[in-house]
Amino acid sequence: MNLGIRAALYTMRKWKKTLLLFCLLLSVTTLVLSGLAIADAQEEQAEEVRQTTGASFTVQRDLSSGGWSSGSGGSYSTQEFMTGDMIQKIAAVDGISGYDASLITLPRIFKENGKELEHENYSFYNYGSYNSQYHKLFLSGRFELIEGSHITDDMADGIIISKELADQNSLKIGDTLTGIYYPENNTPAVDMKIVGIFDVVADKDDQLNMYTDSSYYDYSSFVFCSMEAAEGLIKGWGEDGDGISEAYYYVTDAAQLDSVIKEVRNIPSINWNNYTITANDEVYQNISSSLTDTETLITTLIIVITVVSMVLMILILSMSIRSRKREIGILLAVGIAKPAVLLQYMLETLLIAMVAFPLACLSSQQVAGTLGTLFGKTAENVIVTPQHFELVVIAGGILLVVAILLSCIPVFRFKPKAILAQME
Amino acid sequence: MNIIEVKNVGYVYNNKKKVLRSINMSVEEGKMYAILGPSGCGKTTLLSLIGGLDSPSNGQILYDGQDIEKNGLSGHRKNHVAFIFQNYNLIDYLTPKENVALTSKLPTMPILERLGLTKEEANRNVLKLSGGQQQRVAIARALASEAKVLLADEPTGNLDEDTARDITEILKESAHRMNKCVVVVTHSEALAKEADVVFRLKRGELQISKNQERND
Amino acid sequence: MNLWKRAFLYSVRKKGKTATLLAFLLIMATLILTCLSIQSATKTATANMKKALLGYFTINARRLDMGITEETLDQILDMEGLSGKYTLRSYSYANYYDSDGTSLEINTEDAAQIPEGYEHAGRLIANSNSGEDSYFTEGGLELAEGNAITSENGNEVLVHEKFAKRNGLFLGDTILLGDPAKKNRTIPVTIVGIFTNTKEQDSIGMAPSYDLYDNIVFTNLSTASYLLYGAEDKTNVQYGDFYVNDPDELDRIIDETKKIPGVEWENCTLTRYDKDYQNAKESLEGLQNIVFIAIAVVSVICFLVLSLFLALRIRRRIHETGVYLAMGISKCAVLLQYLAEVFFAAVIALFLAYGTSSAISDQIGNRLLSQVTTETYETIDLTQDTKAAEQPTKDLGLSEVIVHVPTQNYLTVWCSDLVLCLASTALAAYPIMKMKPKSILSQMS
Repeated sequence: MNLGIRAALYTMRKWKKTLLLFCLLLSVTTLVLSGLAIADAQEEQAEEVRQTTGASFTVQRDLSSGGWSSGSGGSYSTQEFMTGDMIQKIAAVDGISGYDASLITLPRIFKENGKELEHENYSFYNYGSYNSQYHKLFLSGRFELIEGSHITDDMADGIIISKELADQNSLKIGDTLTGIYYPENNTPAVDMKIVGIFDVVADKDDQLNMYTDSSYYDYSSFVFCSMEAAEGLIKGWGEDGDGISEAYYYVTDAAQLDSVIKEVRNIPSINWNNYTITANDEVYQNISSSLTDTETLITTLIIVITVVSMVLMILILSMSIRSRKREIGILLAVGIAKPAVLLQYMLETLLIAMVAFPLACLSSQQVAGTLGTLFGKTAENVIVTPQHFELVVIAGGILLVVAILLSCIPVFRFKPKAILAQME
Repeated sequence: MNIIEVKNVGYVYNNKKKVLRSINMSVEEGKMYAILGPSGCGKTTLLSLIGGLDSPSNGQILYDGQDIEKNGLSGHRKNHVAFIFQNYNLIDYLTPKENVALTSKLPTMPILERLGLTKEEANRNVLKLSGGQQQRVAIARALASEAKVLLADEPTGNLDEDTARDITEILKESAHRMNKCVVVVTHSEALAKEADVVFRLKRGELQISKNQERND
Repeated sequence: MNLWKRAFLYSVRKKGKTATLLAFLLIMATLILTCLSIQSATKTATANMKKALLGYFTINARRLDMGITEETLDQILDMEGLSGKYTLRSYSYANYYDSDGTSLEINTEDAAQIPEGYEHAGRLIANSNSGEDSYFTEGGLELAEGNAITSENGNEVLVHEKFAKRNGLFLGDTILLGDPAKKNRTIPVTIVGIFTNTKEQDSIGMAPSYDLYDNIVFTNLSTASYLLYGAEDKTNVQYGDFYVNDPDELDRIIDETKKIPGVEWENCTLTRYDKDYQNAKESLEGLQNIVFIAIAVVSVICFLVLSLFLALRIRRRIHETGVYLAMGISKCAVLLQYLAEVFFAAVIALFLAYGTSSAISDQIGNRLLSQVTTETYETIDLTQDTKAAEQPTKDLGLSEVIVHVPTQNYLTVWCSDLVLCLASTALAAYPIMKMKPKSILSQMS
């Protein structure tokens, strides 16, 4: 009888033992697979956390390297403004999730019937914007979009207004407004369509501000319009004095901020003598050490799980071999070679493993999912990938073979007679 | 005075095979009985029933005139009968002394010495004793209990002739000197010859052979 | 021989089997305890993250006659859930005089208008720490000489370089601040710092004179309190920013704040700021969920493996069970013996597990974790002109992440492990105990 048949027979006839061993193998493999899936999920999740920290960098005109000129309202810099082309080029760099820049105009805005909108100030404080969701006022939570959508860089004539303004003038999404920068100077009139309405969350009454231009405007008189519309407002008028002096770029992964900025600096068509880059990842810096700690802890947990699983596997197999000492004695006594006996045991274990490993693949997915839902936690990113499975099959297979070898050593050190004599 | 009476006992194995049919027998203290028969005739089953390891399919077994199932089989096994097995069935993590102590609160050394074990052997790992000595320990364990009935299943089956003779002698003495009722199941004619009464079991039925003369 | 003695003898004589059982239990208990200690450590880490995301609320008490009083402040700071970090602010206007009472000159050239009565006045900004004021953190103001104002008391001011030059003032000089509105309040202050602006003020030509960078002055809260409220020995403030440990609790804390008696809360504006936290909230929860699921998976599977292992062990002892039963030892006693053996091993293993898991936890704690409380942040230094490089290191007051086996967890594991061991032994023994002694004995041979 060859050892293959012996292995098969043992596995079938001693089905209770086989079943127990199978269950143990299944559990341990499930544990390891779940561990691997969890390790990956946490990495993904940590990346997600880093994404939410709003790490950004600002590109702005370098006033120190440009000239100065004085005008009616004091001196102003003659440093070149940022061009739309340059802004788009930077935005195209990998790892940048969003960007915005502001072209500020102070237009007066009229309804379709030609009546000027009623509001708190003489004119409006208008941010020409590429993607208003990345505007500081929205990101900081001072404003909140409550209706419609943000301005995006593919909109030509969108405008978003405050709720207060909308209520005061009974405006709604879809209405068309006309903006004119200096009506008395016949600057172009630009038609814009209301695409969104925001609510003011911040306390405007808080004197915490630096009395910049905008601070002389009521928040309800703030509007955001498409960059194209803003450019239209100043067309042929004051283009030399008004322009985009800074642009904000938000990166996908705060940890990558450094390398993204380096890449931006390498864009050849931009004269970096005239612009500076400022990194801002304060939020990420604040949480990064705690985040790293969490990551380390989970990784350690997974390592502990894996090591323990390996030890368990060895313990279980050595137990099962030791209990078959008598059988080994008999097999040796009837003249079967030690390697053949060893091979038979390995074959048996691998037979079980062949069924247990794929099943563990399914069960690990189930275990994480079930436990997740049981306690109302989402576990959708805990996914067992084929790579995990491959790893477990290869490492697990090797481990099983080694474990059997190890547990056979003490038994094989004896002579067959000694083994038989030890039995009752 | 009959200590055990077997009345119309039948045993059906797995609802199909009738192993025993309507067995009647009785045994008394101070005598050694042998149940003789070929392999698979139901000898061991009959012994198990007497010893309360199993219940008969029909009929009843009385101990001291009382049905053994009335007060629980476990109690019957604990107080009335003691088993001696072919493969000794000693507890392997207990020494001979401790194995005997499983059934008796009395000092265990006297009985072991009486059965021929030295003090050193009595404290050894039971698995390191020879077969004959292991069987002596098993008998000592049986004798140490207060049970009046010793049930031995092929007690000499694993032993060489000389040792088997010694063990048979011990069993006989247990019956005649210690006033135990010894029931031995065997297919060995040699052992059966030593018994006071021999039952022959054939196709599930029992026949009493002639009483033998006492040898001593 | 009673069952305890049998159990003891089995455990002692079958050294290999006892050792395996012990090892098994030890590994399991260590694993679970380590998991739990890791879980509690991640809790701290997550709490740190929540704290570091700096959720806060601002009380605007500008419209109250006496602002936020010291008593109210104490009551707010006593509330649970505040991180202890807070900023107090007051804003006012002041007439500037030299020590002799002569009015000082301000920059009027760049102003859109010079309001009446403010010809020699400017904006007065008082902050718990002048360096943390948005003028310095965002507006590009920078100290050129002297120190920032960090104490609540003391009559100190920071003035603009140009203002100092215009009036021939130097560090250490004393000037007088007067209330421009009505009440004849003046207070002498010492110049402790001179600042300058690195960015041009973009509202030049639009701002009234007192708002120009040249004309503003930073001072202590107490000075502002005196000018605003006339409070001599108490410091009342207009605004307070209060940071919380857990931004999730902002609503509760704000509600509780509004219940503090003696304040006309209807005239105050309370605003919550937790955008950073709101952004990260979901992902943080995801991270916590993952830790939780990991622990749950480990616990469940550990228990499963343990019961299987014990089942395996019991099955090996059918023979022995048969012999005991044949001897008339009751099933109950046999089961109890097996339970007692596992109990012995479990007790020892669980004691040892405390040591091993503590050792592992210590290693994790000492070797792997960054110790946030002592760590200073390394900021990205990209070029000489990046702002980030200039940011001072911050102390967020985070708690140290300690990985240790909590006693309560230990007790829980202890009890649940013991119960589990005993239950799974009993369960594994059940099929054997159900068998008739005869079938057990016939299975043996």
